[in-house]
Amino acid sequence: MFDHAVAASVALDADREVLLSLRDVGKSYGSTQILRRISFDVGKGEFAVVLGPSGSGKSTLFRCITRLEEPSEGTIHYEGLCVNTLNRRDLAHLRSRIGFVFQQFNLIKRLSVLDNVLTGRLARAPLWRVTCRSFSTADRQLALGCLDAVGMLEFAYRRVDGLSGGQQQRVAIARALAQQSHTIIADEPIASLDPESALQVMQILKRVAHDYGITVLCSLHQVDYALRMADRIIGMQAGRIVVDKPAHDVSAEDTRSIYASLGAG
Amino acid sequence: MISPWVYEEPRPRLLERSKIIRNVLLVGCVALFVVFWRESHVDFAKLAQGVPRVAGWLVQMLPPDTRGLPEVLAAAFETLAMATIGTLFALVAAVPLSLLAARNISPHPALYYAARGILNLSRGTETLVFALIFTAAIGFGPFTGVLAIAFHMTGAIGKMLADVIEPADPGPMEAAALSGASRLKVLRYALLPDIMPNFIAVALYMWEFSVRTSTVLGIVGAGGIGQTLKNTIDLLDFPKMVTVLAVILLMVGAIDMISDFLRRRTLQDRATDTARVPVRVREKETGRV
Repeated sequence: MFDHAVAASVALDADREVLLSLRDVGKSYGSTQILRRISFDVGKGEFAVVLGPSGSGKSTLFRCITRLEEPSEGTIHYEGLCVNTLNRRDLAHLRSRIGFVFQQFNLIKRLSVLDNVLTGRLARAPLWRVTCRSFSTADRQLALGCLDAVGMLEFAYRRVDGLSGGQQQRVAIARALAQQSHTIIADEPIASLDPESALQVMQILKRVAHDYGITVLCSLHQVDYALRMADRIIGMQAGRIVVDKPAHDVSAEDTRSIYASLGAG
Repeated sequence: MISPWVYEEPRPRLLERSKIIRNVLLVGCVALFVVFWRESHVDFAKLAQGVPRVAGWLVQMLPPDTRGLPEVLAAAFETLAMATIGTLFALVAAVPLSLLAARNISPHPALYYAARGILNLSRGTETLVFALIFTAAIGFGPFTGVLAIAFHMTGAIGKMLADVIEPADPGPMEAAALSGASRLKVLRYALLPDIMPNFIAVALYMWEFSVRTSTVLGIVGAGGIGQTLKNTIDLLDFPKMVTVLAVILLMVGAIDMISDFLRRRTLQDRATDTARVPVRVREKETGRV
């Protein structure tokens, strides 16, 4: 099994070690404000869902955390490091410590499942190994373990373009696991999937958080999946956080406030 | 009844702007053709007079002279050799240029425009022009042909490679970059597998193109079968000319077929072997209790 993280059943608690911390993060393009004063802390092993309608700023928020976009204001800390001020090299290092899962999977279509999972080792592997596509035994063992963890071990040598959407997303999660990071950020991971695959992917993400102690920050626009799976709901509406509480405390009133019409927000 | 309404459509306007522009362009094109026709001194009567002369030559061509065949084949081989080496040189130069000339991965706009400029300059200058330049610079021979092909094909190949890179899916590259991989690793691992089949197809097509082009390079002294062809024309040795032309046609045809076959094979997707599966052998020995 997957061995890098301590397996632990994690209950929600306030004393959890903080991994990611945002303070008053804002992002605007000209006069359009996409994000306004976003502040929250995410702890180790927490499964937090950022819930909100499309256009509420979820993707932009995630892109700011990985510095695909520069936040206009506020500060972001990850594992004690100030994300805002990293230079190019440190930024690459930061990114290697955060796994990312995309809506469109973003797998390399002509490569095998295993080769795709090994993408997660690119940052650490020496250039000659990447060039020859010959990864170390340790890396290959790790990648196989990650595939086993998402139930895709038997597909290791298949080409990814022959897989279903749900299978591809599981490979993408294995790729993120292979980075051996403490955090996985998943941007609308089930938006392109059928309901059954979506449920499966969400269950895997939940297990990643609870069994391996990896923090999972996942954006969704489906209320039902969010309430069923997440430890915590961060509700966004028009670039603001309108709800931030444990999933079992979220009321119908709260979800209404998340999905209130943009004009009224 | 689907709708209870009667509808009135607006009348088509006779003098619509777009229509006026279209008609002006049309008239302009026709006028241009007339001017070009006159400039080209089109004269079908002249052609009619020439036909009997060509027919006379056709009679003189037969039977073809096959005594010189070994010499002709050796010249054809030289053409093939210089076309292949020239294309190889061009590929080596074109790959880095194409990376700079592809808008999606070019590191800087200035480098993009510089690379595009170099490629256009190279592509815009015909192989024959380069052959004339290099004949003057280093003299006759096949190496002159190699250089001429390399200089023209760098632009042709580079532009086609850049065009292959530009529509590549940015998703995998973004994923690899977000895992902290360096630019070089991203290109090697996330871009190359995606474009490799097209890369090979371009290389093969350009090789085929080079072989065709280089059959005439000998006419200006750049080696190969073109030289032999020119000699036979100069001496009005029609039987031997037929042999040369036949060898050229056969060689170009064969190269076309080989290149086409290889290209098809490259672009074909191989079926994966579903029988190969990794298996768990034993539990890991961990230090933990």
